[in-house]
Amino acid sequence: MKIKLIYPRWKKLDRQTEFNLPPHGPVVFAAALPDYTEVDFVDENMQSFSYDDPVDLVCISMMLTSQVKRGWEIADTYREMGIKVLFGGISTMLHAEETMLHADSVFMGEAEGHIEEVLDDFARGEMKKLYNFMNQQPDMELVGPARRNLYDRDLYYHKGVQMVDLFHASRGCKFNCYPCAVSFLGGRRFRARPFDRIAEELDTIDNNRLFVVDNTLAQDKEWTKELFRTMIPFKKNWCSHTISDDSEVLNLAAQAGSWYVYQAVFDTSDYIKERIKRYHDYGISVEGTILLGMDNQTEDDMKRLFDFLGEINLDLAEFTILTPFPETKAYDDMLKESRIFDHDWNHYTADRAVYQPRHVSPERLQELFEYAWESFYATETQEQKMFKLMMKVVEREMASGTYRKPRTDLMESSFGKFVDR
Amino acid sequence: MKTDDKYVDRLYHFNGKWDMPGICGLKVVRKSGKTIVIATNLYDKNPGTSISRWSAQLATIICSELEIDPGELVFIERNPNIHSRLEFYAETFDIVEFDREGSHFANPVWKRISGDEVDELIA
Repeated sequence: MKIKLIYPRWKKLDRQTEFNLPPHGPVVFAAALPDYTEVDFVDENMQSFSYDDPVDLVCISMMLTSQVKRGWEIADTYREMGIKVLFGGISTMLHAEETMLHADSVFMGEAEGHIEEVLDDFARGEMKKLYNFMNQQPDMELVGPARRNLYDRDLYYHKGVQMVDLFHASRGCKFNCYPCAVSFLGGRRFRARPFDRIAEELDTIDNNRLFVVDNTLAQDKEWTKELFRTMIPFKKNWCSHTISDDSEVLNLAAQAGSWYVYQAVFDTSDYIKERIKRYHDYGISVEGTILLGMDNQTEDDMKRLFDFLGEINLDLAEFTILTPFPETKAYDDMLKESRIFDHDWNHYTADRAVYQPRHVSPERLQELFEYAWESFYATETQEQKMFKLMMKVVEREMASGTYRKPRTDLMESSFGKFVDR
Repeated sequence: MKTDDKYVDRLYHFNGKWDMPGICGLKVVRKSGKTIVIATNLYDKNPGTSISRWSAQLATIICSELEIDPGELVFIERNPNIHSRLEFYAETFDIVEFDREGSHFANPVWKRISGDEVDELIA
């Protein structure tokens, strides 16, 4: 059975450095497919494809809300040609009802242990409109290893330097963060992969730099410590979301190769200042993630926050505008108060106001957002700060003997496109 | 969430969006020809759909199971204070008004009311 697995393109944030990372969801999904399937993966951010390629079933994997309209467009074209289309992934789950209008079938939940049922139905010509496995989370033993051999690897290099590979050791999240839909998508129960399976997957990844994409590494201290002990022998360097604020955990994280973390900076408290200092004490760099437009932020609060960022020695910062994604409390609150004025999912990119903020106009919020980027990177550009982070990891790799020189054959290429060095 | 909360007499289990099992707090007060139902969001104690997202369906099923005349229902959605540093987790109450199609509710519209107003309603 020939499956074309498509990851639709989306418009990247204007302010972000354009780094294209190899997508994680599609290759984790592909690992759950039975052996009789032949998978052709297309990351549309990097590759084009022809609708005339021979295919039995099209699977569209979507992570972001800003991907869904493009995903629907692809599906509409295939379906006009009489080819069946199955949708899955995070943003499929967030936009399931609308996606069903463009799909032969929508898959809700996680694929492991369930996807064969769908393919059996497809083979019999009896594919259902909806497969709802939201209440049947798989045995974590069944997860992975992700099929990274499906990538066109050379596309994920910038001037000879390989991008990080994405990896996950757990699913679910017990926290209840205001702008986040993870508890809906992966459930509120923390679910860990077995350590032997984690080690097995780490061993398959031909990359010494990773992005550990677990929702947070602050859910279960004992598990997190064991995870880091499992990771130490692989000598990878990695970035991740928040890590537990515990000296033993942070010490093990550093030993396991924690390179930098994404840490939300949501106020100007000593707690935040100390939190960042403690990461630095263990040699872990910090990229602050700063969400603007929250209901408790006046213009003065945001300006104070921008000043504060200059005092806490962040290594990088990324600013976004609160975006009311479906299945979040932010969405519920905005909906109740009729504050969402833009329902075009292509605009849900987290860099534009699609709602009426509590204390400023949407236009003013947009200006403050632009100002935040400019002021943080006024004295040292994003590229310069990233270069410092890169040098840090290179030094570590040289010390541990894991450094890989940039690929000379890709020196004049950035994500598959020629660049003048 | 403690069930001895003055707005929560019991926990109520329901099937939410995509059949995901959900839990909310519930208080039902019958008074002067009205039945006031206060449904409380339990945030992280609720494994399924938030009541904001499921209010019409929830009101429908509560009326059916608790034998409440839909015409007498006053449905209040409560988001309790979880003592977060973020003020939008402060306690809020909304009266939710619906279109009625027989015994089913649809198209919720929320109207913010104060705790004092709720107390007056249920006194």
